[in-house]
Amino acid sequence: MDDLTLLRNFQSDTPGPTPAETASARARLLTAIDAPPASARTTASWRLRDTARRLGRPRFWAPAAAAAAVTAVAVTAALLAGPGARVSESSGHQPVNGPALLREAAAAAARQAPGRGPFFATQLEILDPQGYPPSIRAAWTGHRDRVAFGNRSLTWTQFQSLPTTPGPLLADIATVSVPVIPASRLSLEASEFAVISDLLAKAPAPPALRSALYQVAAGLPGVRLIRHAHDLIGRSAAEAYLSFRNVPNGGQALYFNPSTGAVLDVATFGPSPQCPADAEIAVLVSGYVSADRQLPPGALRTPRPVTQPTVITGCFTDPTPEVPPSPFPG
Amino acid sequence: MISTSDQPDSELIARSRLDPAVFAEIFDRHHGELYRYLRRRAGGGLAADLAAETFVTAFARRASYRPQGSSARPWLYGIAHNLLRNHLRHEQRRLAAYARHGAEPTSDAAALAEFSLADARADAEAGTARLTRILAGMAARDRDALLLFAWADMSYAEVAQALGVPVGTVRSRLNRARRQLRALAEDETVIEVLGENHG
Repeated sequence: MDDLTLLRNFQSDTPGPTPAETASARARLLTAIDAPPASARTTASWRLRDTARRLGRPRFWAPAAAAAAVTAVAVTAALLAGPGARVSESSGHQPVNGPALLREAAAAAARQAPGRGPFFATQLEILDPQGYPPSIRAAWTGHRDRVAFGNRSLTWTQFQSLPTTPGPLLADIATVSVPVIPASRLSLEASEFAVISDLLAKAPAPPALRSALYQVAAGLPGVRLIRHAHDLIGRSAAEAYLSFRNVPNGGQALYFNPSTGAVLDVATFGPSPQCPADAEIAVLVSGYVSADRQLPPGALRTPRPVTQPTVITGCFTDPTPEVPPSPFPG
Repeated sequence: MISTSDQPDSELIARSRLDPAVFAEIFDRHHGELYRYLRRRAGGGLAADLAAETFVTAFARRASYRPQGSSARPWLYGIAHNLLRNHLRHEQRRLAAYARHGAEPTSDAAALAEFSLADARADAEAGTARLTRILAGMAARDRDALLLFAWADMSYAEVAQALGVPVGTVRSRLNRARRQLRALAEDETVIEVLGENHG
């Protein structure tokens, strides 16, 4: 008898759980399943930028990341580029829990006609948190280009063939979602939400895939909704945001139109939702075009005016003007 | 409703993030086997609690699950090991507190603090004392690798995933542990006793 056989035989007749033990353990699990997600709870008051400082990163990080966003390389753009947006809690609108608006956007996205063309163009307005003037940038993705997908990239065909049901799609997203700032302690959900936001804002996703992305976002633990908000350039929007679990009161926001499924803006905010965002990219226009460097109808030549924020106590930037009336019911 | 019976664990766990109730299928697939492993490691009383807690913890952490194969076994056993280690640390602190205050620890706590082979201790009286001592005397990390390999029937890669270490590290830990074990296997007297009891 060799050593392993000897060991394997040792207590090999150990009995399994009794029915009562199995039932008790299963009940404990079902109780946990029915409990609300822990990721919805955040309270304290330090922020993502402090994390960057602790990591020894210079303040010019944010503009650098904004540049990365324009080239459609990484999801960091949504987290680190440009200030300016606001949420509406300070004006009396309370965030609502639940995925209803995101699911509404998913349904609307699925109804959109698929676009056609050899290039997908996106024009963005980017604000830099260090006070640089807002700038307009555009990015083009052609059929021979690769599409950023989290920390990887896919061919056009691979990207358009991503799963269009939420479970498998989330599984794929999870494999490419890593904390966008190394060791920043962002939760996985925050990374996944950033990937989803970036894809919805800039990637050539067919309607079914856009719909599935909204559905996945709706199912992420900790995602909260604000029905009435407005984006960087004053457009009315619904807002979904997800707090960075380990960076309390910091979060990632996605501004969208639930009636059409269009994404208006992605932003990072902190240290509280009452503060304006300290990172923001507005999608001015996007769509399929027939040639490289061509822009879809409605593209702008100059940036929309925005109120430049100044640093105030408790918030990194000044609150932006009052929220305009919402066009969305409820 | 979509059938879950033929879906790999990795897919079920991904689905459970949108439909949490699906995670119960993971429990149904693995609880019995995990319980038996923990019972061999820690005894009947503790195994039930640790096995239950493993699935509750796994459910809470399912967002961080990174499939490295279709089965969730290595991930679940890794969680179970962490819970077991935490429990032992707690017991050791408790023993230290008892010692400081001159109180007598219970015999169960003493056994747990030493190694948690509660059931093995009963066998030890019947003739397996040396195997118990060898296991208890191993470095915890070597023992964990060995018992996952021998009792949970895991491959090197699965053990590595469960313990969160490279495969090469698992290989060296197993070599070290088996060298100690071989010394026992070469002792025919002990083998004979073990063969009578468990063969």
